[in-house]
Amino acid sequence: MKLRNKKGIGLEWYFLYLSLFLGFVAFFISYSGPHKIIQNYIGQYQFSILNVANRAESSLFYIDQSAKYSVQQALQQMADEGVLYEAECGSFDGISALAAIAKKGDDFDLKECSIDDKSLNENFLRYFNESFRNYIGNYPDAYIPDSYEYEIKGNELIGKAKENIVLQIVPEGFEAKPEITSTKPSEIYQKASGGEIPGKLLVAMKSNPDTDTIRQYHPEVWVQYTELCKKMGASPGACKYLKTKCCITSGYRHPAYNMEIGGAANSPHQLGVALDIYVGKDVKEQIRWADAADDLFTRVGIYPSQGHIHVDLLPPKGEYQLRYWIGSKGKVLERANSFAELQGKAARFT
Amino acid sequence: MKHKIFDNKKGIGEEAFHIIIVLVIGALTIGFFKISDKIKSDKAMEAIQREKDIVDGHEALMEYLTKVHENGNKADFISKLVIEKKYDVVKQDITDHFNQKLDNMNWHIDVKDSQGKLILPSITNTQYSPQEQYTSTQSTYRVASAFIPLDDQANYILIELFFST
Repeated sequence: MKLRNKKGIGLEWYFLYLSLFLGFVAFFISYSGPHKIIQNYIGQYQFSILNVANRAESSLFYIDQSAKYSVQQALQQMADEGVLYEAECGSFDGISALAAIAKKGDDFDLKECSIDDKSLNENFLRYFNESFRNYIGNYPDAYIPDSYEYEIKGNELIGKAKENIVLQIVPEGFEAKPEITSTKPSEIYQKASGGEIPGKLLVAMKSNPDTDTIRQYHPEVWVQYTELCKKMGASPGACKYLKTKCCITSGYRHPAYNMEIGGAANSPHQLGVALDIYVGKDVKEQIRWADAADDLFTRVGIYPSQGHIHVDLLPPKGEYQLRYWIGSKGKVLERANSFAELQGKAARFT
Repeated sequence: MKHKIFDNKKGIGEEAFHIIIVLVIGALTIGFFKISDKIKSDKAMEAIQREKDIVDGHEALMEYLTKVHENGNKADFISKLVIEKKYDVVKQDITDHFNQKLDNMNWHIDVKDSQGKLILPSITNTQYSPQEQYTSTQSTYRVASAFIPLDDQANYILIELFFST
């Protein structure tokens, strides 16, 4: 066998190159394969659990603080309004009466509402619970149960929750991918909430306007919105320093913030399924955008004086029955049952 | 050039050329994997360090909020000061505590209301020189947060602790 060709290159070199190449390929495959240690470093999952434990600790701290303030407020209320939560004997000057005398013919009928230690505690707990529920209902990072078994031991109030705290485990920067693939609004809400109106979202606002919460909790709304921008040849995103068409002026609103800015009490922005989209103040332009949004969302409102349109993906029923409207600063000025009717009524605003 | 290598006076021939190629390819291959491994292990180390920071940060924040102060704790103290709009006192107290507790860290703290708006400008570690302090261009990550209720039931304040590298 000849080991050298005409150019004098030995065949052993070809074998060497080949084996080097094969070695390189084999190493590369094993390297880029399931390399768990690097992709998911040791302890990552354990740390994730620890992070959730940290959040749970923060929730418990909030509960403790809320309970402390609720005790103070309950005692204050008892001092201000009398001791009784429900004034069965009536009240005098805003203070519940401990006895009531009613004239019955020639006699007087005495009704006593005085209290013993047991009922004093019961009344205190009713005041306390009312205040405590308000506090924990506002906690944005977890579901805190509002049903407790209370026990008063000396100077201590012990509350034992009947349910567990529920924490949503979502990694930082996580953006949910919508499971709903349909673009038909009626199919979307049917699949998203079984055709029911979803509950209020109680989470901390991430920014203002808050689009992140909508992307996280109701990605289907975001998908429809980006489709609308695409349809109208505009870019999606939140309005920041400059308002450009299709930018969002209002996304998710925490109920407290909604109240502060004078939003409607039942505003769907609190549910995380509504967006206000800037399109300019021109009524014709508002109608053009509303027309495009009509195929993508269930309810459309135009706000010529504010320069935005409102869109949402709520099932049009109950208090959200209205499908089209003309509004201004959280109030409905005109109602319409069809898009044609909306167009007709909008003409008056030009 | 090639001609010179093959036919030079020292007698370095064709074999030397191939050996050089093999060595260069080998060195590049090893170098590539070494660098790639280094990047990945650095990222893993950074991630682990961040998790450690999260544990430390959470501990420091909770320790501060539960610290006894007057008739209550620091959370009561901050809650009261925020209602009274005494933001300078809040800033001073937080700065004093965290400067001492996290003196070697480039930290900053944001105090926000329930709408996510900053109540006062970010509180930074004053022991760091200005160029080392938090700026928006640095890599900043949140290590801990806590919500403190206010006495009006409807609102709360959010305290967030960030570290910057």
